[in-house]
Amino acid sequence: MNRLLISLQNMPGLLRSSHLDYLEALDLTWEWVSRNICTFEPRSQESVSITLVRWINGYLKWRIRDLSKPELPGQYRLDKAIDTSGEDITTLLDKLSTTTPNIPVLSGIEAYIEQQDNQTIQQVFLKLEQYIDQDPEGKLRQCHPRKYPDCHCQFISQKVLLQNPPSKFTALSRELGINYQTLKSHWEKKCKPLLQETARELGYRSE
Amino acid sequence: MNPNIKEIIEVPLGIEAHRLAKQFAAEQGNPEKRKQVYLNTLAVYAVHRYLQWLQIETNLTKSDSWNPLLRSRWNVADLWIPGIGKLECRPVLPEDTVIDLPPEVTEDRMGYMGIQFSERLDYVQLLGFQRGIDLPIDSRQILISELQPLESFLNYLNYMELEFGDKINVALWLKDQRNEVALRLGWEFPAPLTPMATSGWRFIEPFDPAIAQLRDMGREIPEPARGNCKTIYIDQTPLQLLAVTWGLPPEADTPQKWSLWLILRMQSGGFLPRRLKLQIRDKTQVLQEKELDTDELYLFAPVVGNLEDEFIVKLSLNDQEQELEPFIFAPEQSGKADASN
Repeated sequence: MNRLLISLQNMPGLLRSSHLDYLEALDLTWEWVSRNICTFEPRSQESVSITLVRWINGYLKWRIRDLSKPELPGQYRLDKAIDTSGEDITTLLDKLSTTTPNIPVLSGIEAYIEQQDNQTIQQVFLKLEQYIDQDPEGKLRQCHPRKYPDCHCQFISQKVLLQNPPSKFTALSRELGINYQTLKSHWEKKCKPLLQETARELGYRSE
Repeated sequence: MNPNIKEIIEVPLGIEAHRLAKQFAAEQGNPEKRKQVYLNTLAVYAVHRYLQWLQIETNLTKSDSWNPLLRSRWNVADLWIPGIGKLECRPVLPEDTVIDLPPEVTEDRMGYMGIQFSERLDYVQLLGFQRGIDLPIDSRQILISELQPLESFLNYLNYMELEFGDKINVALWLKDQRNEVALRLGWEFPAPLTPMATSGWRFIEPFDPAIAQLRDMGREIPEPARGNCKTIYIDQTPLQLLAVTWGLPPEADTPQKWSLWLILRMQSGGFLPRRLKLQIRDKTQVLQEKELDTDELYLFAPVVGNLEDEFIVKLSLNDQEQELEPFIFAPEQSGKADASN
């Protein structure tokens, strides 16, 4: 299927567009093609590649049309995607020299994101780092596998998150004398959810 | 073939990909980190979409790159593939010739994919793949020129799912290869068992008396053998299972055989509980069944199989039972996953 997709992507005549929703529609189209190529039926009077391109372009056009319709739940709108909070959009776009609106170029990423700096969340992360270091409620130190009281969430987090460069789990398992898999499973199943919950309590909200 | 035709798959990155990348990047405190997160997010999203095209299940929310705290501290671009593991999707910038691997991505990745970016961020190319088990431990870089074609990644996924889904291929232990499936299922790194070699392998040492006892009874473990250990809880009793394996030298007119020894002990070192039962069967019949009716420190069970054999071990105690993933011995299959080997 990978080879087939590469061949299809290189077929001449595929619809190209600078439409804002084209890339999204193209993504959905390749998914549809992969799933439905077995139902494709060539017509006898024209070449397979011509029918195939028409078949793919037909779907692609409809997806662009769907995505462009405003107010459909789950779809993306141009006016939503641009942050208009006090910024002069024209100036911003000039500065970023974007390929299409909302898509920066590689050399313009820093400037592009500078406009979006989310300091509230950065503050939460700082608070969380302090929380890990201090563990004011003892919650993190209490979170350990039954037989390994030293292998608690505060210690692991300090080693793998706060330390720079971070400690590796294999090194940590040797240091603590605990099976690597037990340590990883404790980290995944207990520590990560506990840290997530703490971040939420400290005010983390995703957009 | 037309030389202008690219042989690499291209994934479009639309508004949704950039919206996520922007959201994640905006949470970071400095410009360099923001750019890193922006590109990591796009790389992961592109591979996620590509795998969706191919109807291969992924789980973004279980990936560290989608975890706000972890991505803020680590340079991670992992994508969780259920039943397989984490695939690391590393961004490759236009002039790059190597992929740098930060330490946090070198421990538990089933593989690495290079994602080529260009100045325009509306498409990326999926350059190729490198298996995690082929990467020497503590590697810091992958040469882009050494990436395998994407087909090798898809073959590898098939291989992991079909051949190894939930089976322990003990033949890989003899090659001292990191075995991601075994690690995921709670096994350690395989280790040699000769008396000289056991010191330093913390998990094998407690079994030394059992191995010495077997040696006194004339049961020798040959030098190429490898052992591996797993902790099993049954009826809230923590047990340690040591599995030892080696290939038997082929004899005339007989197929290659392999040996598997299983030794059980209490994790605490005391007597095993009475009525503990161990059963080994193959696909068709029960080969061994042992139930303890005396105080024993160890329980030992050996089996010998042909290459196509599969051994399933079941432990039971007080109406509770636990079946382990089947043991298989497939020395050829480690190379089969990657056509280029």
